[in-house]
Amino acid sequence: MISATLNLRIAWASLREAWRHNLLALGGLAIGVGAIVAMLALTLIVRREALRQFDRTGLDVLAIQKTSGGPAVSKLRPPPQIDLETVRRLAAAQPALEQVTPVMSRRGSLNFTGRQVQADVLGVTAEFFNLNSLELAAGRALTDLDRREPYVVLGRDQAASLRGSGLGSLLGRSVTIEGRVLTIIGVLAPAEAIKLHAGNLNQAVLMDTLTFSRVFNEGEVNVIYARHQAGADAADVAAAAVEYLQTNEEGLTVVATSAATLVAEMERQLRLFTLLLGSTGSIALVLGGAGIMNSMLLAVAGRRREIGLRRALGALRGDIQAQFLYEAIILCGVGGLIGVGLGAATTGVIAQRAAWEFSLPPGILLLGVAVAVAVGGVAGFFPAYQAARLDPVVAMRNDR
Amino acid sequence: MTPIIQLAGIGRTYRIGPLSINALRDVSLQVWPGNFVAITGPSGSGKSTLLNLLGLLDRADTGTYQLDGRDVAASSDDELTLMRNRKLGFIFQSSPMLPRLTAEQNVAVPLLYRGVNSREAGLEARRMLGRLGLAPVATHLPAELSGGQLQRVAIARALVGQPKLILADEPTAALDERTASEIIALLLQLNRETGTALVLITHNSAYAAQADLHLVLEAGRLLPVEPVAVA
Repeated sequence: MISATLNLRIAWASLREAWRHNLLALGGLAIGVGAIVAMLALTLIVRREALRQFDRTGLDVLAIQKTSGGPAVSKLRPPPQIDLETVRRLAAAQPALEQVTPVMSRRGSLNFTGRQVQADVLGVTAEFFNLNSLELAAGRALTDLDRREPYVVLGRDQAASLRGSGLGSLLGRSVTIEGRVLTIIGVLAPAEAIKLHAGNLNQAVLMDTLTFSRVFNEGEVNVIYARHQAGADAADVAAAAVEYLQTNEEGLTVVATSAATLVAEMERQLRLFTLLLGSTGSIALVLGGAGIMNSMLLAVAGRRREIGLRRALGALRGDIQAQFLYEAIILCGVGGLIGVGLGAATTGVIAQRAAWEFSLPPGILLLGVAVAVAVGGVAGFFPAYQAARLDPVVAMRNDR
Repeated sequence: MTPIIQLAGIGRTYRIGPLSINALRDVSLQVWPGNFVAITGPSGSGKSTLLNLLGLLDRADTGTYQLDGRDVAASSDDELTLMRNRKLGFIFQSSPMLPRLTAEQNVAVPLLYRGVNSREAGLEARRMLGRLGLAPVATHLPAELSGGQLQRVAIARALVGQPKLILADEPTAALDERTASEIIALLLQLNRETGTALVLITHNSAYAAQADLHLVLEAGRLLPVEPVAVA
């Protein structure tokens, strides 16, 4: 048999006019490859984005909240609630929970140099700063020594809007919240929205839980954040905490969300998305492959004279088979290259819209082309076999 | 010396439904190196069948065929293809070409299938075209060539591999009389100069008369031409 390089060149030369006839099939193939490339690339990007959201806190964080509904309780008794005492008891009873951190939150009126605004006020402990790895742009964080002290730390944007009223440094200045005068001791560095935390820390005003109770004259804890011990199963720890609270606090119903289960949920949704894109891509690949096979069969029928002539001039059956197989593979390979470009563009557009960091490992691009080449091999095999089986006398008969 | 072609008792039968057609019956023939053999006969007499058999494009049902001393019946399909490529050159009636290749590339095709690298094959093809006076059209596509030029390119392609035998199937049928005469003259000249044996199938008895051996096919039988009786 002649060398593969020579046969590839023969195949390439024979294809010069075949492109036009194969536009549709090539399009299908390109869409299929594009979908597969986009699917794989987006899976990687989304997984990385999901994990990045918990970069600061880590995946071992969980949040416990009172459910809004809950079983009906006597109208004569106040509705059950989580307070600081509940949190203390929970921390003592559940050694698998570490850095147990209560968070209280209200909207409150804030008065600064005569200008009044509404702000999200959070009652937190020193642990909250550690748990969320919060950094300060100025001043200092709240510590355990500041309990009951009339101190506040401002979120980045909140501080910026106050400073907008035309004054220099905010540190040491007074701000009035719900009629109580408090001193600004720190300003947070820009903090990423924390997935488990509903509010925007950049807009918030932080003070100690005890100070918060005095300011708002109530002690309900809205969320308990905690870490679970290293090695402990997130779901088990969360279930134990829920179980403890619901057994020991009469009428209280709570729900625990852990970062690990959130990520697991995201991955489950991602798998669904992957499956959808993957099956769309596979269908397009199959249709594209069928189109290529069909057009190759037509080409074999239309080029019987050429096949007969080549056989008469010394082409072995194997040479003819390889030539037509290569033609199909080249066609599909080019379709694959277009598809890889399509997939990369799709991934780029989606990543840009979603503000995800774009990346496309070369392995995925290679895989896209490899898939297309494999489709070419499968789609081209039967037509190539038919071409090779042609009897040269019969093939050339219409010539005599 | 061994004959290039040694046919003995060759028969070829086609079956079309319940009918069997004896395209060739008991054909025997010897062609020696340098011979010019002309075969004439009416349409349907089995000329193309005989040429296909000689060209290793088809196999006989009965009899033996030795090409350059080698029994063809015992050879595989691939072996026949290699023999065809190395020992035979074809010239067909309508000089079929690969339409997207230039004249030079078309002439190089038999060498490429023999494993000669494309540069050498190209040089050899160009040399052969030059010898036939076709150097100016070496880079033309078949569609840009006249019938006579095409047939000359076909002759160049048949000769480029230095075969022992040229099989020419009515090579002038599609040409005007003057061009046809030129082509036949060229074939005869090459036959004499290169010592390549030539089997020519033709309807033209004037061309056939120039052959070393003139045979007639009649209903599948190969007969020597009887001298015409003069009254």
